[in-house]
Amino acid sequence: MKKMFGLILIFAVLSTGSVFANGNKEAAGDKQITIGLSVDQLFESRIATNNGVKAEAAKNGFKVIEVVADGDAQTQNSQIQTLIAQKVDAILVCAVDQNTIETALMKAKKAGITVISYDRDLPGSKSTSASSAPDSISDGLNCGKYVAEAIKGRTDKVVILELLGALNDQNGIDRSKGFNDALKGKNVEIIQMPTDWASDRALAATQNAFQANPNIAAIFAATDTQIPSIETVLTDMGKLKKIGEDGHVIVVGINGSYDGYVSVKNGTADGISVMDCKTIGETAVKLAIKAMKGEAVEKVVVPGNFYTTKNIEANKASIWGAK
Amino acid sequence: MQETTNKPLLSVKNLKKTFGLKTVVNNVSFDVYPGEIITLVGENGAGKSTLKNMLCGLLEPTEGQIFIEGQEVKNINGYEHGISAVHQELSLFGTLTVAENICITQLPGKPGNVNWVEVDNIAQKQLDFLGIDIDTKSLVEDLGTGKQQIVEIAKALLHADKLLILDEPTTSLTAPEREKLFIIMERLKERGVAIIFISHFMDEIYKMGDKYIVLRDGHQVGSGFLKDVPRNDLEEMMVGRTIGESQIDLKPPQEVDAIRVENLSSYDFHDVSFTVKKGEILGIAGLVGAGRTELVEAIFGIRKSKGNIFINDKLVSPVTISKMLENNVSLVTEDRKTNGIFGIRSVRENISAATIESFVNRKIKGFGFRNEEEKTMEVVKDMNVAIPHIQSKIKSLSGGNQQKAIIGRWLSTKPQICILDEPTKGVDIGAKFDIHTMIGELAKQGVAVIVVSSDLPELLQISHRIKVMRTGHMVGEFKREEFNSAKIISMAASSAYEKKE
Amino acid sequence: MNIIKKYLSKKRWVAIVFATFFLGVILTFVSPVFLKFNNLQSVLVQASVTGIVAVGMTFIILTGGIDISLGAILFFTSALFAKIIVGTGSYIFAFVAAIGSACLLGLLNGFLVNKFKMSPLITTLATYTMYRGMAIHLTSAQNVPVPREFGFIGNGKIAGIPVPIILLFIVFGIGIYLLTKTRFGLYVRAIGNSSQSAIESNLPVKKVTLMVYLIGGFTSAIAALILLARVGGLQSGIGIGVEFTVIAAVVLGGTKLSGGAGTVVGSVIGAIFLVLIDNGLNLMNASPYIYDIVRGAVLLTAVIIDRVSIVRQTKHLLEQKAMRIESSKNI
Repeated sequence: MKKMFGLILIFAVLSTGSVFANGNKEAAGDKQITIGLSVDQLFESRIATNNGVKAEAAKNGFKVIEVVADGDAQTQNSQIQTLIAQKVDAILVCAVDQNTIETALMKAKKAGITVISYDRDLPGSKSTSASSAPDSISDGLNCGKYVAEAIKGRTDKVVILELLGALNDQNGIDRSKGFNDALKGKNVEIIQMPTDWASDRALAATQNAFQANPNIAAIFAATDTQIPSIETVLTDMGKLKKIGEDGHVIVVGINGSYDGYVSVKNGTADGISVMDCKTIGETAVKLAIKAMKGEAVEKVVVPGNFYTTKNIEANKASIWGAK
Repeated sequence: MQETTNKPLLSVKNLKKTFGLKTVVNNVSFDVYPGEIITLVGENGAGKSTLKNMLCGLLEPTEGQIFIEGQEVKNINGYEHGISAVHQELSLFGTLTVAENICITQLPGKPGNVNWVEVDNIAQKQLDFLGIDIDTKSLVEDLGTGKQQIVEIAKALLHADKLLILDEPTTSLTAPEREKLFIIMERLKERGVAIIFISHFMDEIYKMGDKYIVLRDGHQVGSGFLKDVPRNDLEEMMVGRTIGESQIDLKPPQEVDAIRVENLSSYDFHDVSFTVKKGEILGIAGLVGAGRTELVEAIFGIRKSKGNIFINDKLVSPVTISKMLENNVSLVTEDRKTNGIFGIRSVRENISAATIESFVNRKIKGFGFRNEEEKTMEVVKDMNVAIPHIQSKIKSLSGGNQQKAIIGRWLSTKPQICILDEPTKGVDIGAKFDIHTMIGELAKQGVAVIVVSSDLPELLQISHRIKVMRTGHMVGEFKREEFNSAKIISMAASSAYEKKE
Repeated sequence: MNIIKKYLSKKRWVAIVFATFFLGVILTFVSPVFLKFNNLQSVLVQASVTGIVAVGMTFIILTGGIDISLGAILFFTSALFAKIIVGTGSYIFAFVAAIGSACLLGLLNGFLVNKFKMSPLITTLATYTMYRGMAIHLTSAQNVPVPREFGFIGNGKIAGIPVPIILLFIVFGIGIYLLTKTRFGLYVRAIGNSSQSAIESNLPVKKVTLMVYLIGGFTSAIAALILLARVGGLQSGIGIGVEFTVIAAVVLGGTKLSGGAGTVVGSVIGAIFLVLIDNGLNLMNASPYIYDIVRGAVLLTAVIIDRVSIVRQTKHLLEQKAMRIESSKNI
């Protein structure tokens, strides 16, 4: 009992230790520019974007202080205050909740710190100079266009299942908008199910959707990490067929994770719109540099690339999730 | 008594228990023989519970020896050594069945596969042994307190059938339930079970007990056969001083009305009118639930009511707590644990709570309190409150001392009208004596006192007048010369209540 | 009517059976698909994760405790399993390590609750954060896909019955047996009833406390494997909020949050009930925006049910007490 407790304690100490080590790695050199990176939560695509930020920062000889809020807006609020106290030169922020941190960001702006939002836009924010975010609408459009193309020959009404992201997340909203815009005017019925980005909820939703509508012909996942869950349900129903096989259900998604990559490669899914995480991250730093120099900057959206089974392997290098 | 020639079942030699610096039980020695009932008496805080807990193994003695059937036992384990205790707070599980409760510490069958049929059988056998008819499958929470206690005894006896310790078993029982318990005790006695019987009630002690042990401040101040000791002597041993029969020297009240209540009504009581003169003690008798507490709370402005209240012939309107305080009315509530004390605060703060304004340092406003400690020390001395230190948390005191401290709090407001709701409930004889004396003193000083009490002998002793309440109505009044307990009882518990049970 | 009321206050789990049945009848009318075998089977598969953890949580809540960290244990177990399977390819090692570590984490919860006499809510809230952190650290917040053949646990069938359903019924059966047939089960119910009484009765309170938290960890591990297999890989969202769904299921199933009274049957049916709500909304193609409203309303109802029955019981006790006082003729 005691031993185990000790082990966990050591583990805890080690993990905090490594965080500190990251923060203080480089002794405060003179005139070195420091960028504060305030992350909402760590998951794959965010890490890919963060890596883009860090790479670009390293190229310019900047120091990066990374703080992670673990999905807690209050934590992020105080972390930003700390970054201000550490006198960083710029803050790149991906917000948990825009309203909660707005005052902290204003404080940063008043302290002369450049604030750039990345990966998730902060619409209407007075504190940020610019943002670098994925072009979620175009990502959604890519998927919608593919589905529209694939069902072109059909005369009956086509039932499509759309697995939504979080209902209050700008990226989720935009992806849905893009997808639906592409299919506007087509003879389709789109069934929307909320998933909050969670795979287990996507799983249940897909399962139930197929019970109510056994003739679903296409599925659009707001994040391709849900594709394995979709495949689980298709397996359950005996409908997991590859492209070209009879009874194939069209599956498309957005993101660029390993899950999506593998499924598209195998042909069980049709295509994914891959976010250009690296560019998003790099752009954020570039915007910060410009803004620090006093140049005018504006919102940048980075469109993703849509890869299908045919061309995905050739573009493996540009898919952040494909290792 | 007849067994005194046998070997003692339990021998206790020089038992001592200390908590920190405080010695709670000191140098206690006695023998218990099979088939006898030993009554353990003493005031609250005398160390009875500590002694009980040492005997059943919940506490380890600091010093001394315990012998069971001649063998010295170091680490006593109640069940192993045949000793079990029925605590005041029953150790039953409400949502389990009677059978499960009785057998829980010794389940038949394998741990991984309990024989539930056998559980029922064992429980039934235990209850048969006690001569009580309770369905073994009913849930304990559905039983009355009396039956629960019997289940507890059945549970205790299943494992420990040599010595049974009953800690104030009758306090929450109705009269018939109490009789039943006594029959069971007799039966156990016949079968050679020894019983240590802790009680406050002298009648019971003399009715049931063979021997007695008196504890005072942890010391054994007396023991022997009950037939050899008159009741008064026993009480004096417990309290440590002479208790007179009538401590209170009542003076006739002044001919001035202090408070006049006219047609006071609310949901709980109806059309109540009475007056109390200066220097008069008015007792209010009645059953629990007759509306007495509600009445005095309404007078003090805690509850809403209709009707008029005059203090010194002036109408008080509206009746609010702050108005009443302005008029020097004070109320000592019944349930001190929830309404009276601030348990985790010190005795000092508890006493000064009602008068704290007067201690505020006027020179530097809001910074500290002047003379607070001195004044509260005076109260402590006047009220004869036994405390380790003025800064001790009040909940660490015994019930009697808590009550005295709370009464002291209100007396330091120098009330003109003092209402006491069950002032001696749950306090021991000594504290009761002190409180009675204090009430008498107040009256002498011209304070109008209203005492609500369910303890009729108490009211008979201290009141000038007694009013009787029943189902929210004032149904009768007795002057001191007309006092008659039988009449008062029958008036309080009239026909309307006799139908039930 | 009164008889029904009395029966409901005794057999608290009956309420959820009625509610589930009632909901079922409504859904049958609303959607023609609802009563189909496939849909019902899919409901059970969906309920398996919540249901299995609910069995463990029932034991914990019965003792008067609560474990907020079960979702985090589930996440950690999934992470460990996925990591090991990808790293070594040994299923046996992965199973043993995952289930073993889940039990240890549960045990740690029990140990902390025991040792420091801390409120279980605060204790497990702390360990929740810690366990999730450990899992994130282990995987560096990366998704870890698991091999396809592992999906058997999630969507395989044995004798025509989906594996998650089989696992649900096994855990369910063991839970019922432990709670009703064994000494341990009686102790669990007793401790939640009154820990003071339990101590005075010399029951092994600490051991039982350790055990129930261990069972909680164990059931989380089983649920983790099913979820991992069905989702197809580890993702950082796994297990978030599971504990609350589970607590809701347990309370809906008639277990008192204060402990002492409750059944495994009720909890599992509670889990099925919660799935039916989502299932119904999905079948009706309801607007995505009303899901949370309906869920919240149902949870609120559950809490009110718990509250009302406490009020009713207190009232019952008070009435008893008053009757006794009235009947005692000694003033």
